[in-house]
Amino acid sequence: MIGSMDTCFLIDWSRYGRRGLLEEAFDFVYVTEDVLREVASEETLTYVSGLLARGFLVIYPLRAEAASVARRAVEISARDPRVPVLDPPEALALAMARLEGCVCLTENKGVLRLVQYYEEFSGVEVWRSLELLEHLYRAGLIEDLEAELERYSRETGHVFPKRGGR
Amino acid sequence: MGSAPEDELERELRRRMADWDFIMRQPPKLRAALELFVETGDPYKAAKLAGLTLDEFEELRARARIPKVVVRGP
Amino acid sequence: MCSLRGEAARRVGLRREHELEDELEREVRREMADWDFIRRQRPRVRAALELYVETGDLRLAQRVAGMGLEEFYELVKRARIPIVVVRG
Repeated sequence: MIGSMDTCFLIDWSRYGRRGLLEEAFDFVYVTEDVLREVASEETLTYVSGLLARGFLVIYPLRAEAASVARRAVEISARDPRVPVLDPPEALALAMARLEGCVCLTENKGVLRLVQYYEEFSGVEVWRSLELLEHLYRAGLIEDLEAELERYSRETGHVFPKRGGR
Repeated sequence: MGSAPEDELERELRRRMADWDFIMRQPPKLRAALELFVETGDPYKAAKLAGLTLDEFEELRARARIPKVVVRGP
Repeated sequence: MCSLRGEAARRVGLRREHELEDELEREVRREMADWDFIRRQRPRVRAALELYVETGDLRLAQRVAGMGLEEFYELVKRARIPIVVVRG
Protein backbone atom coordinates (compact mmCIF):
# COMPACT_ATOMS: atom_id res chain seq x y z
CA MET A 1 0.00 0.00 0.00
CA ILE A 2 1.26 3.50 -0.75
CA GLY A 3 0.21 6.85 0.63
CA SER A 4 0.59 10.59 0.31
CA MET A 5 1.08 12.81 3.29
CA ASP A 6 0.76 16.44 4.28
CA THR A 7 2.66 18.43 6.89
CA CYS A 8 0.01 18.39 9.61
CA PHE A 9 -0.15 14.62 9.62
CA LEU A 10 3.65 14.31 9.58
CA ILE A 11 4.16 16.74 12.46
CA ASP A 12 1.59 14.95 14.63
CA TRP A 13 2.75 11.44 13.78
CA SER A 14 6.42 12.28 14.40
CA ARG A 15 5.58 12.84 18.07
CA TYR A 16 4.00 9.44 18.53
CA GLY A 17 6.15 6.92 20.36
CA ARG A 18 5.23 4.11 17.97
CA ARG A 19 5.66 6.17 14.81
CA GLY A 20 7.59 3.28 13.25
CA LEU A 21 4.23 1.58 12.65
CA LEU A 22 3.76 3.87 9.67
CA GLU A 23 6.45 1.91 7.83
CA GLU A 24 4.62 -1.32 8.65
CA ALA A 25 1.41 -0.03 7.14
CA PHE A 26 2.80 1.47 3.93
CA ASP A 27 5.42 0.51 1.39
CA PHE A 28 6.29 4.16 0.86
CA VAL A 29 4.65 7.56 1.10
CA TYR A 30 4.75 10.49 -1.32
CA VAL A 31 5.39 14.02 -0.10
CA THR A 32 6.04 17.29 -1.85
CA GLU A 33 8.85 19.73 -1.14
CA ASP A 34 6.33 21.99 0.57
CA VAL A 35 6.09 19.46 3.36
CA LEU A 36 9.85 19.28 3.80
CA ARG A 37 10.05 23.05 3.82
CA GLU A 38 7.60 23.30 6.69
CA VAL A 39 9.34 20.85 8.96
CA ALA A 40 11.35 22.82 11.51
CA SER A 41 11.85 21.08 14.83
CA GLU A 42 14.84 18.83 15.49
CA GLU A 43 12.60 15.94 16.44
CA THR A 44 10.61 16.04 13.22
CA LEU A 45 13.69 16.70 11.10
CA THR A 46 15.43 13.66 12.55
CA TYR A 47 12.38 11.54 11.86
CA VAL A 48 11.95 12.88 8.32
CA SER A 49 15.65 12.43 7.58
CA GLY A 50 15.46 8.80 8.56
CA LEU A 51 12.41 8.23 6.39
CA LEU A 52 14.07 9.91 3.41
CA ALA A 53 17.28 7.96 3.94
CA ARG A 54 15.40 4.66 3.99
CA GLY A 55 13.51 5.61 0.83
CA PHE A 56 10.19 5.48 2.67
CA LEU A 57 9.39 9.13 2.04
CA VAL A 58 9.50 9.79 -1.69
CA ILE A 59 9.44 13.29 -3.16
CA TYR A 60 6.62 13.24 -5.71
CA PRO A 61 8.08 13.54 -9.21
CA LEU A 62 4.98 14.71 -11.10
CA ARG A 63 4.44 18.04 -9.46
CA ALA A 64 2.92 19.76 -12.50
CA GLU A 65 0.19 17.15 -12.80
CA ALA A 66 -0.49 17.26 -9.08
CA ALA A 67 -0.60 21.08 -9.11
CA SER A 68 -3.48 21.17 -11.56
CA VAL A 69 -5.58 18.75 -9.49
CA ALA A 70 -4.64 20.66 -6.34
CA ARG A 71 -5.74 23.90 -7.97
CA ARG A 72 -9.16 22.37 -8.62
CA ALA A 73 -9.40 21.23 -4.99
CA VAL A 74 -8.47 24.67 -3.69
CA GLU A 75 -11.03 26.31 -5.97
CA ILE A 76 -13.79 24.02 -4.77
CA SER A 77 -12.88 24.71 -1.15
CA ALA A 78 -12.82 28.46 -1.74
CA ARG A 79 -16.27 28.43 -3.37
CA ASP A 80 -18.05 25.88 -1.20
CA PRO A 81 -18.65 26.99 2.40
CA ARG A 82 -19.16 23.38 3.47
CA VAL A 83 -15.49 22.70 2.76
CA PRO A 84 -12.78 24.45 4.81
CA VAL A 85 -10.37 26.23 2.50
CA LEU A 86 -7.38 24.09 1.58
CA ASP A 87 -3.77 25.20 1.67
CA PRO A 88 -1.35 23.96 -1.01
CA PRO A 89 0.35 21.19 1.02
CA GLU A 90 -3.03 19.61 1.88
CA ALA A 91 -4.38 20.10 -1.63
CA LEU A 92 -1.25 18.52 -3.09
CA ALA A 93 -1.49 15.52 -0.75
CA LEU A 94 -5.05 15.02 -1.94
CA ALA A 95 -3.99 15.47 -5.57
CA MET A 96 -1.21 12.89 -5.28
CA ALA A 97 -3.64 10.43 -3.71
CA ARG A 98 -6.12 10.94 -6.52
CA LEU A 99 -3.51 10.60 -9.27
CA GLU A 100 -1.79 7.58 -7.76
CA GLY A 101 -4.80 5.85 -6.21
CA CYS A 102 -3.16 5.89 -2.82
CA VAL A 103 -4.30 6.71 0.70
CA CYS A 104 -4.19 10.39 1.64
CA LEU A 105 -2.75 10.88 5.13
CA THR A 106 -3.92 14.19 6.53
CA GLU A 107 -5.45 15.77 9.61
CA ASN A 108 -7.12 18.44 7.49
CA LYS A 109 -10.89 18.59 7.71
CA GLY A 110 -11.13 20.36 4.35
CA VAL A 111 -9.68 17.33 2.55
CA LEU A 112 -12.10 15.02 4.32
CA ARG A 113 -15.14 17.15 3.53
CA LEU A 114 -14.17 17.65 -0.09
CA VAL A 115 -13.97 13.91 -0.58
CA GLN A 116 -17.32 13.47 1.17
CA TYR A 117 -19.14 16.11 -0.87
CA TYR A 118 -17.58 15.88 -4.33
CA GLU A 119 -17.90 12.82 -6.50
CA GLU A 120 -14.82 13.69 -8.55
CA PHE A 121 -12.77 13.16 -5.39
CA SER A 122 -14.95 10.54 -3.73
CA GLY A 123 -12.67 7.70 -4.80
CA VAL A 124 -9.86 9.00 -2.62
CA GLU A 125 -9.41 7.25 0.71
CA VAL A 126 -8.52 9.78 3.39
CA TRP A 127 -7.00 8.67 6.66
CA ARG A 128 -6.38 10.76 9.70
CA SER A 129 -4.33 9.33 12.55
CA LEU A 130 -7.59 7.79 13.81
CA GLU A 131 -8.17 5.78 10.65
CA LEU A 132 -4.51 4.77 10.46
CA LEU A 133 -4.56 3.51 14.04
CA GLU A 134 -7.79 1.63 13.31
CA HIS A 135 -6.13 0.05 10.28
CA LEU A 136 -3.09 -0.94 12.34
CA TYR A 137 -5.40 -2.54 14.88
CA ARG A 138 -7.25 -4.53 12.21
CA ALA A 139 -3.89 -5.58 10.79
CA GLY A 140 -2.87 -6.93 14.19
CA LEU A 141 -0.05 -4.41 14.66
CA ILE A 142 -1.82 -2.80 17.61
CA GLU A 143 -3.27 -4.98 20.34
CA ASP A 144 -5.58 -2.61 22.14
CA LEU A 145 -7.06 0.18 20.06
CA GLU A 146 -8.47 2.19 22.97
CA ALA A 147 -5.18 2.09 24.86
CA GLU A 148 -3.32 3.12 21.74
CA LEU A 149 -5.69 6.02 21.09
CA GLU A 150 -5.08 7.15 24.65
CA ARG A 151 -1.33 6.93 24.13
CA TYR A 152 -1.57 8.82 20.85
CA SER A 153 -3.71 11.40 22.58
CA ARG A 154 -1.17 11.89 25.40
CA GLU A 155 1.78 12.14 23.07
CA THR A 156 0.32 14.35 20.34
CA GLY A 157 -2.45 16.37 21.96
CA HIS A 158 -5.23 14.73 19.95
CA VAL A 159 -8.60 14.01 21.53
CA PHE A 160 -10.95 11.40 20.10
CA PRO A 161 -14.45 12.01 21.47
CA LYS A 162 -17.27 9.78 20.29
CA ARG A 163 -20.39 11.14 18.62
CA GLY A 164 -22.99 11.95 21.23
CA GLY A 165 -20.46 13.53 23.59
CA ARG A 166 -17.16 12.67 25.29
CA MET B 1 19.21 2.82 1.65
CA GLY B 2 21.68 0.65 -0.29
CA SER B 3 23.53 -2.06 1.53
CA ALA B 4 25.96 -2.99 -1.24
CA PRO B 5 29.61 -3.02 -0.11
CA GLU B 6 30.43 0.05 -2.24
CA ASP B 7 27.58 1.99 -0.62
CA GLU B 8 28.85 1.16 2.85
CA LEU B 9 32.39 2.11 1.94
CA GLU B 10 31.21 5.40 0.46
CA ARG B 11 29.14 6.13 3.57
CA GLU B 12 32.08 5.33 5.83
CA LEU B 13 34.33 7.67 3.89
CA ARG B 14 31.80 10.50 4.03
CA ARG B 15 31.39 9.96 7.77
CA ARG B 16 35.13 9.96 8.45
CA MET B 17 36.04 12.91 6.32
CA ALA B 18 33.18 15.24 7.23
CA ASP B 19 33.83 18.26 9.41
CA TRP B 20 31.49 17.31 12.26
CA ASP B 21 32.26 20.48 14.22
CA PHE B 22 30.96 22.49 11.30
CA ILE B 23 27.94 20.21 10.85
CA MET B 24 26.94 20.33 14.52
CA ARG B 25 27.16 24.14 14.51
CA GLN B 26 24.52 24.43 11.79
CA PRO B 27 20.85 25.25 12.47
CA PRO B 28 18.65 22.14 12.76
CA LYS B 29 17.44 22.00 9.17
CA LEU B 30 20.87 22.33 7.57
CA ARG B 31 22.39 19.94 10.08
CA ALA B 32 19.72 17.33 9.33
CA ALA B 33 20.31 17.75 5.61
CA LEU B 34 24.09 17.36 5.93
CA GLU B 35 23.63 14.27 8.09
CA LEU B 36 21.23 12.87 5.52
CA PHE B 37 23.84 13.46 2.82
CA VAL B 38 26.51 11.72 4.88
CA GLU B 39 24.22 8.70 5.25
CA THR B 40 22.88 8.50 1.72
CA GLY B 41 25.15 10.48 -0.58
CA ASP B 42 21.96 11.86 -2.13
CA PRO B 43 22.32 15.62 -2.64
CA TYR B 44 18.84 15.96 -4.12
CA LYS B 45 17.02 14.69 -1.05
CA ALA B 46 19.34 16.59 1.25
CA ALA B 47 18.81 19.84 -0.68
CA LYS B 48 15.02 19.39 -0.52
CA LEU B 49 15.16 18.78 3.21
CA ALA B 50 17.27 21.88 3.70
CA GLY B 51 15.04 23.96 1.44
CA LEU B 52 18.05 24.80 -0.73
CA THR B 53 18.78 24.57 -4.43
CA LEU B 54 21.23 21.87 -5.45
CA ASP B 55 23.87 24.56 -6.02
CA GLU B 56 23.36 26.03 -2.58
CA PHE B 57 23.52 22.59 -0.99
CA GLU B 58 26.68 21.83 -2.96
CA GLU B 59 28.31 24.88 -1.42
CA LEU B 60 27.23 23.81 2.04
CA ARG B 61 28.48 20.27 1.46
CA ALA B 62 31.86 21.62 0.42
CA ARG B 63 32.10 23.81 3.52
CA ALA B 64 31.25 20.75 5.63
CA ARG B 65 34.07 18.91 3.85
CA ILE B 66 31.84 15.96 3.03
CA PRO B 67 33.37 14.34 -0.02
CA LYS B 68 31.47 13.11 -3.03
CA VAL B 69 32.64 9.53 -3.04
CA VAL B 70 32.52 7.22 -6.00
CA VAL B 71 34.06 3.81 -5.52
CA ARG B 72 35.74 2.70 -8.70
CA GLY B 73 35.64 -0.82 -10.04
CA PRO B 74 38.75 -2.98 -10.30
CA MET C 1 -13.85 21.99 12.47
CA CYS C 2 -16.21 24.90 12.61
CA SER C 3 -16.24 27.02 9.53
CA LEU C 4 -16.96 30.70 10.01
CA ARG C 5 -18.94 30.29 6.84
CA GLY C 6 -21.37 28.22 8.89
CA GLU C 7 -24.58 29.96 7.89
CA ALA C 8 -23.67 29.85 4.22
CA ALA C 9 -22.65 26.21 4.60
CA ARG C 10 -26.03 25.29 6.05
CA ARG C 11 -27.81 27.03 3.18
CA VAL C 12 -25.95 25.00 0.58
CA GLY C 13 -26.55 21.73 2.35
CA LEU C 14 -24.01 21.08 5.07
CA ARG C 15 -24.93 17.67 6.43
CA ARG C 16 -26.38 17.72 9.91
CA GLU C 17 -23.80 15.16 11.07
CA HIS C 18 -21.01 17.52 9.99
CA GLU C 19 -22.61 20.45 11.73
CA LEU C 20 -22.87 18.46 14.96
CA GLU C 21 -19.31 17.23 14.55
CA ASP C 22 -18.02 20.77 14.14
CA GLU C 23 -19.94 21.92 17.22
CA LEU C 24 -18.66 19.06 19.36
CA GLU C 25 -15.07 19.64 18.28
CA ARG C 26 -15.33 23.34 19.03
CA GLU C 27 -16.86 22.65 22.42
CA VAL C 28 -14.04 20.29 23.34
CA ARG C 29 -11.39 22.80 22.26
CA ARG C 30 -13.10 25.55 24.28
CA GLU C 31 -13.36 23.42 27.40
CA MET C 32 -9.84 22.08 27.38
CA ALA C 33 -7.93 25.22 26.36
CA ASP C 34 -5.76 27.02 28.90
CA TRP C 35 -7.45 30.41 28.72
CA ASP C 36 -5.02 31.99 31.19
CA PHE C 37 -2.17 31.10 28.87
CA ILE C 38 -4.07 32.33 25.83
CA ARG C 39 -4.93 35.68 27.42
CA ARG C 40 -1.30 36.25 28.38
CA GLN C 41 -0.13 36.14 24.77
CA ARG C 42 0.54 39.21 22.66
CA PRO C 43 -2.48 40.33 20.61
CA ARG C 44 -1.65 38.68 17.30
CA VAL C 45 -0.85 35.33 18.88
CA ARG C 46 -3.86 35.52 21.18
CA ALA C 47 -6.10 36.21 18.20
CA ALA C 48 -4.61 33.25 16.36
CA LEU C 49 -5.16 30.88 19.29
CA GLU C 50 -8.72 32.08 19.75
CA LEU C 51 -9.33 31.60 16.05
CA TYR C 52 -7.98 28.08 16.31
CA VAL C 53 -10.27 27.30 19.25
CA GLU C 54 -13.27 28.52 17.29
CA THR C 55 -12.47 26.99 13.91
CA GLY C 56 -9.96 24.18 14.39
CA ASP C 57 -8.25 25.55 11.29
CA LEU C 58 -4.56 25.24 12.10
CA ARG C 59 -3.43 26.72 8.78
CA LEU C 60 -5.58 29.82 9.05
CA ALA C 61 -4.59 30.42 12.66
CA GLN C 62 -0.93 29.87 11.82
CA ARG C 63 -1.15 32.63 9.18
CA VAL C 64 -2.76 35.02 11.61
CA ALA C 65 -0.02 34.30 14.13
CA GLY C 66 2.64 34.89 11.46
CA MET C 67 4.42 31.70 12.52
CA GLY C 68 5.66 28.55 10.86
CA LEU C 69 3.31 25.60 11.05
CA GLU C 70 5.36 23.55 13.46
CA GLU C 71 6.05 26.55 15.68
CA PHE C 72 2.34 27.33 15.89
CA TYR C 73 1.52 23.68 16.48
CA GLU C 74 3.81 23.71 19.54
CA LEU C 75 2.11 26.85 20.77
CA VAL C 76 -1.29 25.20 20.43
CA LYS C 77 -0.01 22.35 22.58
CA ARG C 78 1.31 24.77 25.21
CA ALA C 79 -2.13 26.40 25.21
CA ARG C 80 -3.56 22.91 25.85
CA ILE C 81 -5.88 23.19 22.87
CA PRO C 82 -6.45 19.67 21.63
CA ILE C 83 -6.70 18.51 18.05
CA VAL C 84 -10.16 17.00 18.15
CA VAL C 85 -11.23 14.12 15.94
CA VAL C 86 -14.79 12.90 16.44
CA ARG C 87 -15.17 9.15 16.17
CA GLY C 88 -18.09 7.68 14.28
